Amino acid sequence: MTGVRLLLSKELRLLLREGTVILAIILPFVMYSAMGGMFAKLSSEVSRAYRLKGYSIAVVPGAPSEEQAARMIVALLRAQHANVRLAKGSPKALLERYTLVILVPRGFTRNLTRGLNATLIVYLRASLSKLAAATAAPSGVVGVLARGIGGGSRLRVEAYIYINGRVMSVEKLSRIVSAGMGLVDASIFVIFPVSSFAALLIGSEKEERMLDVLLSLPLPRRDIALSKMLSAIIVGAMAAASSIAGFYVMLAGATGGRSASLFYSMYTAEQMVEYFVAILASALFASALSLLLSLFTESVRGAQSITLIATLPALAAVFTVFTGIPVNPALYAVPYMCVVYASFSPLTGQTPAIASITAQLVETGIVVYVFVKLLSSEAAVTASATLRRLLRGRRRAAEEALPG
Amino acid sequence: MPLLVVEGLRKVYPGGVEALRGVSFEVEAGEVVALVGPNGAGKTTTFRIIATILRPTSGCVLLEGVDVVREPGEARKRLVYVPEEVGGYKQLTGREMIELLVKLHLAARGAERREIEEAVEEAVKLTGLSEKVLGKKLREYSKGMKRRVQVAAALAVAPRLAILDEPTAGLDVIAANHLRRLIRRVAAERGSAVLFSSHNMLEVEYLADRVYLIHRGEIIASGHPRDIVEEAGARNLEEAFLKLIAGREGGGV
Repeated sequence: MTGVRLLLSKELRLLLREGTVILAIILPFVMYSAMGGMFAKLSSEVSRAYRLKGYSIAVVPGAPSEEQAARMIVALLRAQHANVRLAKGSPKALLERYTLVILVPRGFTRNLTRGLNATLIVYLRASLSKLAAATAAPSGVVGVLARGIGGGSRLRVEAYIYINGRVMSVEKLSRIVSAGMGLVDASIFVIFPVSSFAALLIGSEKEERMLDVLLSLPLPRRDIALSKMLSAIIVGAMAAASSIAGFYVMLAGATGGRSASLFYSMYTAEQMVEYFVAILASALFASALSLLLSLFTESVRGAQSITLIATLPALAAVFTVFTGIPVNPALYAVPYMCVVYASFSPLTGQTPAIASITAQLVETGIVVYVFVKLLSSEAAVTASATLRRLLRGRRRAAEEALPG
Repeated sequence: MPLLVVEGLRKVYPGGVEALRGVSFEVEAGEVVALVGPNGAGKTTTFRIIATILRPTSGCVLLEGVDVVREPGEARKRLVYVPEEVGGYKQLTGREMIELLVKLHLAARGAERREIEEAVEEAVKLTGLSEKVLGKKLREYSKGMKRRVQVAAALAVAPRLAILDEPTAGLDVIAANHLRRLIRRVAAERGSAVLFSSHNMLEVEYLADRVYLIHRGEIIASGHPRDIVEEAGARNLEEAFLKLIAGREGGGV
């Protein structure tokens, strides 16, 4: 372990004395803090986009006395070109045929005519893959009816979403989606720096002509691999701390000074542990993959470009969040998806999170094994030349295949 | 038994380039041995195989009886390797670089803390650089200064075998002279064998107890520099090598 300690100390000194590394640590805080205004703008654009097109809507009077109000609501929605019908039955049964059910409860008309608050109950059938629509639609109902009824300030909507076999209020769903997206975004600020730092560690050995010296030292190659992975993760954790602090400031600004911790109150301690394990598993994978791939490059710049390759699956994971959360066992094995499943575990349940974390750890183990094997062989110094020769051979073969 | 036995070493790189074609030689304990030859002759490939960085296609390397291919970890405890290209972690100071290299070597051998500290101070002395200079980052160092740091750190750990690939290449006269004296002194005082390469035949004559001439992956001559000169009927080592290589090529060089 003395070897690991000494190497770790060396690796940390090398990383923390690089200007770009320091920049990468500080940048997430600055970026997230600066994104508060942008998020507010995005939020206002999304609210304008709330429409009810594409929904089949059923309006159900909760009592005979509310039938007239229900008809009025149907008419108001039709005037907005919504696909709406008057229906009868339990909301749960109606959601088999309709995507949105508006229940006019007993006392709604009385309250409205007396100038009291009147509450509609909205039920929405939603899928995990269309989360944005699920949170937008109930607000669309309120907006349309408030404009039509007049005195809309007294109109209230209680919205419930049926999603992934659970029912929850739209407020809770919105908080989970916001918190989940925040957690997924935060993971990017861990995965990218870790990948970049790890790639730098092999690239700089080559560029500083120290790889031969390092490989001739009386140290097990797994110690070299371990120290490089750990140092990349430690510096990555510093960048993560910076990003989380910045993120907190951003959310505090977006919620008018309220504590950002409100967003995360719906996570259990177990779910937060899952999230941090997912982040760690992803960071280990990013670090190991970048180290492995950087063996095939010859310089720091070459190694840095490897970062993009090693972290591309993370970008794919982020994109899934914008559209929704696809819960499909085939995706559990996709690198970095464990962060998405862990971030949205209040919605998706624990199974996808645990399965994808396990898959990620297994993949990391495989990559580490291959990396240590390569480092223990002469491929550590010949891999880049071999790759170059292979590429040249393929290019030459392609050129020879050209006619004339 | 010799400290280092290299027997029938062949190395074919992926792609089919045959760098070594059955190289054999020996190095005794405390001996300073030069492996000389033209560029691309196979010197660095030989060194990198002994240093466990490359694997031979066939053949065998024994260092104190340890097979460097089968037991690379054990072999690395007995050797140090300073490659031809001068490097160093530019974010570290000269002293930090020395401390790192010495500690990594000696810690693996299970050395005590005091022994390590003494070796660091010894390496600092061997560099011939002032404390002020050693306190500067390596990015401010010249090639010669970096070379001094690496060679001093390598020799201060008292390896059984030090492999120095062109240790004075590109250095000025003063720095080169310092390193030559350092190599001779450490070999004499500490009993470390030194295997080095050089294109400077005067340097080889000054340093080497024995010389191996390698050409196109084969050893074509060996012996004490004086004996090689006499056998070749030449005036000096450089002329002897030119004659030997020309004879091998079947014409002038």
